[in-house]
Amino acid sequence: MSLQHETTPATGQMTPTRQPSLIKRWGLSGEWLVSSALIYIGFVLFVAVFGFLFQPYPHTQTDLFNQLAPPVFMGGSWTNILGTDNLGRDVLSRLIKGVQLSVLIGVIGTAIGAVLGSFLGIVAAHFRGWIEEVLMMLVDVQVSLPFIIFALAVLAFVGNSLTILIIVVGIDGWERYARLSRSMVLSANQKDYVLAVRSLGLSNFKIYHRHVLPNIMGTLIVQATINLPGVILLESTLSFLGLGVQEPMTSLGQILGVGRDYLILAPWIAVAPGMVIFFLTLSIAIVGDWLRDRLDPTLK
Amino acid sequence: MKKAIDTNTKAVKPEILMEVRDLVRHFIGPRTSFFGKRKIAHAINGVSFDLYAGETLGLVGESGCGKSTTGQLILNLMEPTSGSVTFLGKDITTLNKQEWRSMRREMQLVFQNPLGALNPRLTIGSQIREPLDIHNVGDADGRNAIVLEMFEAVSLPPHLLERYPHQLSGGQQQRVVIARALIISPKLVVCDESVSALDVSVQAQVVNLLVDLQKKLGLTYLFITHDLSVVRHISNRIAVMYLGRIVELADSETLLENPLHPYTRALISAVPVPDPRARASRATIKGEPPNPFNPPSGCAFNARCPHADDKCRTVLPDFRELAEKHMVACHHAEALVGNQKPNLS
Repeated sequence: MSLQHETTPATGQMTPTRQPSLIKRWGLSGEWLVSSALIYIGFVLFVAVFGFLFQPYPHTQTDLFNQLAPPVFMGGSWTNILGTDNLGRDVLSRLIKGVQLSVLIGVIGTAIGAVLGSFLGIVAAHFRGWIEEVLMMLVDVQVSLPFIIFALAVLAFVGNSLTILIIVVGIDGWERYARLSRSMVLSANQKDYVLAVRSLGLSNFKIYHRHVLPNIMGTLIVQATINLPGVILLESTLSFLGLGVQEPMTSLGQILGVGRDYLILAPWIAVAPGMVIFFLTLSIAIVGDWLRDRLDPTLK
Repeated sequence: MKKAIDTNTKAVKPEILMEVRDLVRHFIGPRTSFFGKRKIAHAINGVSFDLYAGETLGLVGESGCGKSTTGQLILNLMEPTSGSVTFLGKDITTLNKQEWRSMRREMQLVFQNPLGALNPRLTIGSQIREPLDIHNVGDADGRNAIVLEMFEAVSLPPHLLERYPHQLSGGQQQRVVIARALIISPKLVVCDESVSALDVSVQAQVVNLLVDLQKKLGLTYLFITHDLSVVRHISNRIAVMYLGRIVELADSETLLENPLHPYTRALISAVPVPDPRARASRATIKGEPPNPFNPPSGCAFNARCPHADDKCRTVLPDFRELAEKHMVACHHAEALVGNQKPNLS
């Protein structure tokens, strides 16, 4: 990548020159791909938090005289920059609203899965015996069950609300964290430095807090960045299938689901949220890759 | 390597620091079939010895003979199946948590692989300091002063305190591990293959450092190793282990000059000698050590022993005192006294 940096004049524009120290400190000089991914993620987060300030119309406002208006670059007018949908709702406004909810679900859902799964994995590795066997059996059950079917069943039986949806997409991937953290804690507990402080009489809590967790955290964070796009896609899938976010709320997947019916007639409805999802998941994956290298002190 | 034995032997007082009696530890093997019985490995099979204050006891043997397990058992890092370990007048296998906490300060472990013994994410300084933090020794400034002092004692330059373990060389890492073990001034230090992972030249430095620190701080070492050429430079007494039992125990000089157990003889003659003609007179050792899941009847060494007869194959030899302070577990030890000195430069 450093080779590309020397030949790509665009780098200078993407990395602001005002704070070269920060760029250097984070090892970002030359990493134009990572830099642009970080900028894109920052932009999406900004839209999710402050987007309502720039939202041109309420996302539910319909205009039945202006249905399926094309976006500006396809010959439309500046009143609806990204065009309108089948009910004449402004796509840009809906997109901003959708990003807000999708990011919320993605971040909270990932956090739920990461915390729950890692915790259960650590519990299994710490107590061993039947606790470990039961937890790992649950993991095997979860792995062998297609999650989308599990999610559909839960949403169909328990009913649908935003809280339940977040919990369901959050549960997705817990088994991966559980397996990962269990195996890492098992091997960390065998490390001599853990044995050394244990023989000194350090409490279990402090051993985990000071010696085990910092050494497995990097891997878990990388796992979370791998999982985050999956959670966002899962939410999009469920919404696309009509079991996720319900009207009048909207999410990227839900807009995509609506756009599916007009793919030939008005492709912009589906393409806009699709592009956002595509670049978001790609950026998170790139940043995750980069983080994995950054978080390993032996690679510095 | 400098010979440390002669200077140390005089300092040895007959005061017993630790008494190990009939230590047994079994490991339970994996299930071979769903309804099958789990097999039991007799890792340690009745080990008894005394540790005198201020001495260095070398514990030697092949890999898998239970040396390291013995080390972990006497530090109570592992529960013994049976037997007792009396340290400073208390049986440490029955101590409760509170008593154990204060007892832990008195015994420390120095590991084989120094890089694995250091947390890759903490600086050297904070890791050496940690034992003081755990046991609340002094205040923050006092602790830092002790760390600096200890760092000097293991002859490391102070600027390394801010470094991370992977930035140090193997010898420096092992010095850090030693510093961490000694900083709370323990009485007993178990060195588990502490120099085996190092280069020969660095080995010598670390062994000398250990000897110096022993003199300065009055430490007692249990020095576990498979390497006889190292152990003779540091030990006052040597215990030889074979398949979970001590087969011979004597003063270093006696054991190396006049070994009584055939296994000890084989071990000693396996030490490389820088003399091409010495090769001919070597007592060789054939075969593999037996499987601890399925130990042979009688003497565990019988399958590989040149002197084995029917008695050896059926009756387990007692661990008896044959000469003064020379314990051995062999039916034929008397016959081997003085017989054919093994070649050792």
